[in-house]
Amino acid sequence: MESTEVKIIKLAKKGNHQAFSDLVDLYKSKIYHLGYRMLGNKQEAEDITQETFLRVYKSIHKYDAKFKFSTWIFRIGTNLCIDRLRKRKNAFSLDAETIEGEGIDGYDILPSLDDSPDQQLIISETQRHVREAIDKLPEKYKSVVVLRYLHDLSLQEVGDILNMPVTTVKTRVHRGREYLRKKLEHGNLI
Amino acid sequence: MNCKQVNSLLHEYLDGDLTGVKLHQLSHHLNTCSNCKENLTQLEKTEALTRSLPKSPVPDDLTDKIMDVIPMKRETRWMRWAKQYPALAAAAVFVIIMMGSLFAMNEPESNLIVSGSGMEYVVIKDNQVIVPEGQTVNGDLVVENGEIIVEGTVNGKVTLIDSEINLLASAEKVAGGVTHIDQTLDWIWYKISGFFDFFKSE
Ligand SMILES: [Zn+2]
Repeated sequence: MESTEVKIIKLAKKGNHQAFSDLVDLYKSKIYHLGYRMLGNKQEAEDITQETFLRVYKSIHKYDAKFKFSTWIFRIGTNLCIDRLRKRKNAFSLDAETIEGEGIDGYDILPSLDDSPDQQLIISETQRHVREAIDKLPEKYKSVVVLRYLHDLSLQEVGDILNMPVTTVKTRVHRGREYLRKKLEHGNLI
Repeated sequence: MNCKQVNSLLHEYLDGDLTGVKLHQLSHHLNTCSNCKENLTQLEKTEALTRSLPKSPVPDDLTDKIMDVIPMKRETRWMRWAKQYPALAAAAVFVIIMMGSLFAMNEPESNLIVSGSGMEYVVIKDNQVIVPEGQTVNGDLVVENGEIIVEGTVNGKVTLIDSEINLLASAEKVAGGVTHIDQTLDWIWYKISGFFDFFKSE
């Protein structure tokens, strides 16, 4: 039996608007979080989500159902993020500082109701450090780390998305992990 | 095995790739080297902290913002719903129309409405529209919820919506002919056929 997702994708391929809108609802938060982690701020996360779905819309007729749809859409999203990161690096400007700063937004400092006041502070500080460490990861480790740890994808899937052999993914995960470890150790978090 | 080699084993272990002899070797080293053991603990904590990073809330209007940039025909919520559940939609339209007709029928007194290009030639009295004797109406007349009394002549058409016509002399006095519309029934028909046209157009 076909999954709901497969049915939706088939309909969307035929140009059914409702199906496309359902597809947006299925994947928008995944792509948004990918963008948010990769680029470190909400505005660009939104931009990247819009762009990803626009590309999906324009090229869905080329999508081959033999491959996982999630791999395909993650690839589009990741490529757009990597592209932005590279452009940002090239256009080395003062803006870069501001963009990094925006990654820490008010929401994450908001305490959750279950924690005692002391715990709240520690958790949000820890999270801030983790976020900063991820933000500062070099791009080639960042995409691997974000897909692997924040989207909980298998090494094979990460390889499919980034179009690279699993051995390369592993090397990058190792390096990314070391990099984060050093940053967190430096911040006395581990 | 030195500590540098062990570091790469640690990563393999974390990836779940370590088995057999290598796993044994790592375990042995960790029992004797507190440095590497601490390294493993740190890497595990790093993974746990990274994984536990909460997802920030997705903006409420994200779907709208995405759909705004998708160059597709916009549909109303009702149209989408109607296409998803055509039978229900047809039933809903029917119920709405029937309700509407019931209310219309129960209305004690509907007001007379006169329109059309010839309305300046007529005399209106209560719910009667009178074309006086000797008067020629150069145009069409539409009478709703009333009665038209033709004593003179009408050069155009007379359309009666839930209305009566009283031709005092002869029917020849209305040159363009008389059309009767029973509003309730025709309106239902009009609405229903329009509704099915909507599906045909897709
Ligand atoms: Zn050691």
